[in-house]
Amino acid sequence: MTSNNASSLFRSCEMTHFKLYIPLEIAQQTVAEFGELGLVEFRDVNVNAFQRTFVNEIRRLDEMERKLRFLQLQMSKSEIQPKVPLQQLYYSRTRTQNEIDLMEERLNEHEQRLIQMNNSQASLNKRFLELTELRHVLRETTSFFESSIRHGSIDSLNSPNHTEGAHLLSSGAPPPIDDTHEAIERGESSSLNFVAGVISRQRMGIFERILFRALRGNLYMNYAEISEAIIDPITDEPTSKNVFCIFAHGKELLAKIKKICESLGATIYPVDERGDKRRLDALDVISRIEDLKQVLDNTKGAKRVELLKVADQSEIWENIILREKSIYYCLNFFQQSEGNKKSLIAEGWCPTESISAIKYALSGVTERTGSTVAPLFNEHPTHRTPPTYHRLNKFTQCFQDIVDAYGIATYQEVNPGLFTIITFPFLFAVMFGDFGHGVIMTLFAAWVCYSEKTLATKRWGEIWDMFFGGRYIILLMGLFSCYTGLLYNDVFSLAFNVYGSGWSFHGKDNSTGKYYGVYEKTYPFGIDPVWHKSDNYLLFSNSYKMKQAIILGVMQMSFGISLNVFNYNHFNKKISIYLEFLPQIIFLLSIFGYLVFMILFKWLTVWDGYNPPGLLNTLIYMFLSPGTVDPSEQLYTGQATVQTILLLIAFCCIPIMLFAKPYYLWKEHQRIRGQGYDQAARSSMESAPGSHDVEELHSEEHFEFSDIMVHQVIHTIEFCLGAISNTASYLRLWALSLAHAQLSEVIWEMVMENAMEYGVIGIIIGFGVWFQLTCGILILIEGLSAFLHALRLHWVEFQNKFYGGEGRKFLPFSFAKIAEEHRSGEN
Amino acid sequence: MSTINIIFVTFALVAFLTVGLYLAAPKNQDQVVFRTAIVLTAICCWTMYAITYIAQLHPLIVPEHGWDPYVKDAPAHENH
Repeated sequence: MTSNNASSLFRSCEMTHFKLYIPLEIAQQTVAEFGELGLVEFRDVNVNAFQRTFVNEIRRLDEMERKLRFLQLQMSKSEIQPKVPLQQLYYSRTRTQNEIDLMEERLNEHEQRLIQMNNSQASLNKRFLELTELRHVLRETTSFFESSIRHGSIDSLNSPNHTEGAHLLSSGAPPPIDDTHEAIERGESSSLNFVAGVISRQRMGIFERILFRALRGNLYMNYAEISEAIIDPITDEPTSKNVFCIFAHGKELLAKIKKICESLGATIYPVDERGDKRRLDALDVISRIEDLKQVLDNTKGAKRVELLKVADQSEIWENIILREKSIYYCLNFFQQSEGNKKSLIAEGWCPTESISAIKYALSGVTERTGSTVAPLFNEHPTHRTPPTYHRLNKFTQCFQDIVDAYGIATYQEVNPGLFTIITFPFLFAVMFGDFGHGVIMTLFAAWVCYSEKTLATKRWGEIWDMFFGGRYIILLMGLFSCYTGLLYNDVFSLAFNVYGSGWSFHGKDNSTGKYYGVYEKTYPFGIDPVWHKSDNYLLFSNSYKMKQAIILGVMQMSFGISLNVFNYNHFNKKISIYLEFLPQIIFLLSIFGYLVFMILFKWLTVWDGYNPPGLLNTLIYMFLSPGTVDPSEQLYTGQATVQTILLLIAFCCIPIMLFAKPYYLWKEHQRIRGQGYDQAARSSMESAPGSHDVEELHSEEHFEFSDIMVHQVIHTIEFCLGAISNTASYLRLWALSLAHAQLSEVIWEMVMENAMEYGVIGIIIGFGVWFQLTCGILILIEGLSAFLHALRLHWVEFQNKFYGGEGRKFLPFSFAKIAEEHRSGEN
Repeated sequence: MSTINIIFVTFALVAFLTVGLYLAAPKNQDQVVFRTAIVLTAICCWTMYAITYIAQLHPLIVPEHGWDPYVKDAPAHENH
């Protein structure tokens, strides 16, 4: 645990700040190499945007990306899936400039061709629509005319007859002869003319009303619905339309009608008055439609072929563009060398242990490109705080995520993630102790872990991703739950009896009517099964689980405080071990360590007939009346003295925690000032060539006693009150465990035990209901709640004892990571 | 009558196993994770086992049953 191995999870990797000089002509290849390596983080050296060198390149790539997106959109419209390249191809090599040019050319070609095809397709579609509508108009008008003929007005249009015209106007119904109307018609027009066209069905009502008002009723309108939906060539949406045919007298009226049609978006089609001409037109239209269909199909086929060509390459292109763009973004972080501008200067961080790998990669780039000037890699010390980098694998990743969600570790401090791997599932299991539930959970997680390769590609929504990401946590939680379940002797609220109960019963007690157990031996592993159906099980299990929660809590908190020692040692603050660590651990142990001692003492004492004291009261009276212990409440002789001493020690620790460290810092400061070192240090810093780093150092050096004191007071109060409240907080281990056991028992009794009274069918149905309740409530919901409480215990009770969490995550430039982010952004 | 000795026996067993696994840890970059996991698991599991055992070593309360515990098909829902 205390290994100094740099790449362990115990602390973050040692980082080196570097300065890199890259000749401009191989800059792109070099950065690409770093992208493959994924071990280097570049810092943005340029303060303002004008200093960026590669803006045009990025713009060009953006343009290419836009074209590709256009092509992909066309593909998805034509329902063509892009061909997924092989995985190794996905992380393919970086392209040369030539290849990029070629790619751009091809993209341009494809785009041009597609735009052309789309245009011709659109005009063809429009033509097709017109012809279809015309065909409908012709057919419907013919039917209008025919229906009016059936009503006895043969050739009414060719040789207009007023009475027959009136017949038409009233749509075949016996006409109420309106003399004035007839007179007007007779006087004004010699022919009854008509306008035919198509309008969308929604507008029909308005259209009719406007026409009627504008023409004051001097029209006869006939319409029919087009049964098939007409597809709008612009929006590609099917719309339902009507054919209308309006008869009216006089040129003015017809012009008016045409105007109204236009303004309402209706299309007017020329229809001949003569029936035989109409028939000829209709035949003509049908043949033209056939021709057009042919042409349209051809165009569609050609477009499909073109898109299929694109589909072969689109994923690869997308990946290349993504890579190139990220390379140029990265290059924009670099500074151009002053003077000849022939090289770029990069600054950044890398893990110290990877320097040789980086240098090797750089020499590889020089060799491959045949460049005469090699990139120059220099370590470059700085006062900036390095980023935090933990080397993780798929197993440790999810545990580190739990810690990172609270805060990224300060550079090189002890990482609680390492301990979380075991303590988190364990504390979870203390609250989730049931062998049956544990087995189900383990089986599920084992299945996910076993088939993780196939499951990793599945996209089953966010909740699934959460389970999948935490599969190793769930596996360990399940395994530990099996263990704690065995200790609690809980299997779906029933009990195993492996070793034979340690209690025997000798008949009923006549005064109470109850059976009392007689102790013979202690059950060797876990809780004696006899308790499970006993009336006073809760009395026993509450006492046991409560005390266990306290013991585990004090253990974990002491462990957390002890981890400080590693931090103090590592950061060269050995004095803090005496000024901070020792008073803290002594304070905690003299109060709550003593409580743990009393718990164990009480358990290990044979109480034969004596009445044992209540531990909670003992602890309370230790504070309220120090130095005196009621003889009837005494655990052991000399208890009063021991408690007084412990109390004194605890109280002595408080002023040490409060004042020792500020006093030490102040003394140290005085000493340095007395020797005149701080002046010397300051002037030497100022004489150094100006950089921001000097200022940073100054603010750190500045000594403000009141600040330190305030900080220390807050810290001390937080610790002392925290010691009490955190210990109490660990009682959630008992509460959650109790709730889980009780709920599990209730579900068993309410469902299964009732179901068993109804024979086989009852058991089958009951089992179904019970199993669903078990999985849904006990495993999912209770599991989630236990998870959250374990999370809290780690974040608050454990980590606040030693964890700063003020670091910054190391974000290396890596193609793999960029591709992954891109993919998850898409989904 | 059981004694506390079994606690020490199991402790010795667990300690032996832990040391064995600790030494057998693979010598790669996951060594620290492996060793920490082994030691912490041993501590957690043994502690909880020991607590459970000694909590029952000198029982202060005896189990009470409202029905004869030796009768197999006792009415289940009467017990609380």
